[in-house]
Amino acid sequence: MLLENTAEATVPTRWAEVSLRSLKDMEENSGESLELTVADTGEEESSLLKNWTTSFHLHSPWNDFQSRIVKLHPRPPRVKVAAVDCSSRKIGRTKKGLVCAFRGTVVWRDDFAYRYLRYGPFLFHITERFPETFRDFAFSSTVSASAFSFLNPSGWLSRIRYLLEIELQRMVCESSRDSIILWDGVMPAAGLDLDPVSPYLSHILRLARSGNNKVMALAKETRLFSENGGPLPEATELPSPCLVDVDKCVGEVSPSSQRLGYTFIAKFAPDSPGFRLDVDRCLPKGEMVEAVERLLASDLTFQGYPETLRAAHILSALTPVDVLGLQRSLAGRYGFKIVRSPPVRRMLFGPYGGWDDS
Amino acid sequence: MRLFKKEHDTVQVLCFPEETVEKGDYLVVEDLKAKRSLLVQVVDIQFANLPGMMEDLVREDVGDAYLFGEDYDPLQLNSQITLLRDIRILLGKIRCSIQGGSIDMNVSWLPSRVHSQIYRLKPHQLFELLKLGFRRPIKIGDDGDGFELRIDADALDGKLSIITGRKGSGKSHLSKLLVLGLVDHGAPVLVFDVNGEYVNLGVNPNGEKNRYHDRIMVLNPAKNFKVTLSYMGLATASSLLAHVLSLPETSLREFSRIWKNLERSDSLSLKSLKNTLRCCDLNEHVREALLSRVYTLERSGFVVEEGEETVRLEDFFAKTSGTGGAAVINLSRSFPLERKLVVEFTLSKLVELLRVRRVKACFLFAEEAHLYLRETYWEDAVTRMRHLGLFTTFITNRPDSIGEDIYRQADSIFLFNFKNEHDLNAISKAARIDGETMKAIAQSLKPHHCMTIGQVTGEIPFVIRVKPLDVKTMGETRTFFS
Ligand SMILES: Nc1ncnc2c1ncn2[C@@H]1O[C@H](COP(=O)(O)OP(=O)(O)OP(=O)(O)O)[C@@H](O)[C@H]1O
Ligand SMILES: [Mg+2]
Repeated sequence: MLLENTAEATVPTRWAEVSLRSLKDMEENSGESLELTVADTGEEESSLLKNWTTSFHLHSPWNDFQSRIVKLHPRPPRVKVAAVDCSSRKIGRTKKGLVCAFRGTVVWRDDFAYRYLRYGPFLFHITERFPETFRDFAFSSTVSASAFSFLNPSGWLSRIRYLLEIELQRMVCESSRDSIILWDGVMPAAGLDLDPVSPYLSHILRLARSGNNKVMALAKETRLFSENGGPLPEATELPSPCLVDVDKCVGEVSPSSQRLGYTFIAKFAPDSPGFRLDVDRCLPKGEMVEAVERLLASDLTFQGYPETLRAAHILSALTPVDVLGLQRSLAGRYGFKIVRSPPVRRMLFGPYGGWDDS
Repeated sequence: MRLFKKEHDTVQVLCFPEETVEKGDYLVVEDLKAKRSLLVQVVDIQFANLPGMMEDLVREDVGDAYLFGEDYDPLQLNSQITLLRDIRILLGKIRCSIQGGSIDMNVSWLPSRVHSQIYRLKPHQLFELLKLGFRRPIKIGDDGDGFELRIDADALDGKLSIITGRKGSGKSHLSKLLVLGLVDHGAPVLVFDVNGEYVNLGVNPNGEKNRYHDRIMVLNPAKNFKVTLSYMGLATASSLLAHVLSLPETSLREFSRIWKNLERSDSLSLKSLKNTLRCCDLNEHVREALLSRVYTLERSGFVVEEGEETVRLEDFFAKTSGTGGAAVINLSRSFPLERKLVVEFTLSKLVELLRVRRVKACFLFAEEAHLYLRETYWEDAVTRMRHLGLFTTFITNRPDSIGEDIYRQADSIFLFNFKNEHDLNAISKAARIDGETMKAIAQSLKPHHCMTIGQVTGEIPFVIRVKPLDVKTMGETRTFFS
């Protein structure tokens, strides 16, 4: 097992508890008619097949570009690679708030196969009272949920997803040894909107380092923008595999000292468009590159994207079928009447513009 | 169930796994606001191509190959999602509208998706709505919930019907139900029984006489069903010679002349006919031709000498007038030529009786008619004979043995299971239902289930489970080992 302690079991139990507590609202209402307004499933974009893009602005001059390229060589021996990803979806609106679903997955590769632990789906009813529900409940010793209480329900959606993700990240970082741990997205900088979280993330990274793990975050798809002119190199022009050290070019908004990650553009395969890669900043630079080379020796890549992380992403995703199933189970358990919000597309293209053509 | 899509006369309905619907079933799409409904028949059931189903399959694909893991699903929601994979799309044809409890053929309106509710309509409810089986009911089946389904005898009256389906699917069984149903309403029925399976309609399965016993007359050609020349008459005799025994025109003229002479001298008999043919002044070829045919008639045992006791068709009609009754002409022991003789005689005589109004009208059930009915009679049956009051039901397991024209003119078709596309193509020429629907449903009909097409069920095609018969049936295909 990846996780030597019992954390893997406590996460879902605690999340199930909050989930049920938040859903209790609905039962209390059972006198009046319950309605769940949902968007037509066909309208929602799916996230699984479609990559989403991280826009990424580079500020510094580009002219020393060639000198920033670090060519990579896969470096045996193989080490364990673990990845964490989570997803969230709106399930519907009630009179009081928003029902959302969350699911998270940890995937790791051992000598034989890819293995996973998948958590959820967890349903949350986010209402005005939700911050209370949430506050009573210490998710982690160091993160105080009250800090989020000013957010609107939609804000809560990404916030809760992120909390689940952090939980899983902590779990993995705490219990792994000598491994490469992949996070999804970018490592945040302290001082931004994730303020209450970043100290906790530092803590998690510390936990990881104490077990000799290397943590890196990989953005799904990266689009480079040059802010002060100068031609950008086409990803196709880069040798592969390679890293481009762009740490100094990344955002002046947050000084490097406050950032948790050290930023590269990673191109692992000739057909890869290149991804933003943040490596735990507290590692010596040489170890960073070495860790990436180990990753190349330890995990398959699919179009230059590590398979472990891709699997975590795919397993977590809440597909439209999942959403439909969750809507129906809500209707079944709480007696909701499902009401479809008038979908704009249908209003434009006629009442029977079925899913096929959407 | 939810309305999903409408295109021309078809709708697609989303059906969740816990709802059971079969091909051929009727759904009501009731617009609660507009207070009217569409009646839709399910013609196909498919897997729903849910948005994102593709993704789920992709995910499974990834998972199957090399991923092993565990799900922590404390709220047990995954099972609900898995269930959804089995969501189906029901493809339905719109048949009519229902408004204020009555049928309306205007289907040009669109029900609301939001205010519509969809439910299955049980066949007996629909029968009630269509007012089927109210006037002269014939019980033909049930709808699986114990409710009887009745059609009206009137739906066969003056009409042409076809019962078809593959071997052993229950055609003859249904035909017997209809025969007895018509008898119940006092109608005279004639059956051409090629397999000798209608002969026990008057007997219970245990062998006792039943209430039909006195009204069923079994006619065994050359046994209790024999005719004399004088009863036959010249017209019928000529038609036998010409059409069954292929006598050339010139010989037929001679025959006519000799017959008339014999009649005039009041000495018409088999014997005198043979004598005259032997002695009179005739071309040798003609004499040969005529004599050989008269011998054939005699040898058949069906045409007998004057004075022998015979059954007269008008006696049957007289006897059953008012009470109804069936004359079963058992052709199972006859050779093909005799079969044709008997049929030719019967139809010819019947037409004569109808023409002079000795008989008001008669229902005819013809099993595997291609075995004994000559070409020209098919057309006759649907035009001239129908006009005179002979209402035919053809029963066959070979749909291509019935011509396209006949299908087109059929008022009702009772369709049993067919697996074979070729067979179905033959029937799809019946313009009363779209071929696509018919094929879709016919191929999935269970044994003893038939689909009704046409007037018999008010132009609304139905799938009916045909009810058992409480008379002795001998329709089983003969086997060696059992
Ligand atoms: N509705 C029914 N209920 C009970 N038994 C039935 C029913 N329909 C048919 N059967 C039985 O199934 C068998 C075959 O039926 P039937 O003889 O009517 O088939 P068929 O279609 O006329 O076959 P064939 O093409 O050989 O003439 C018979 O034994 C009959 O009694
Ligand atoms: Mg039969």
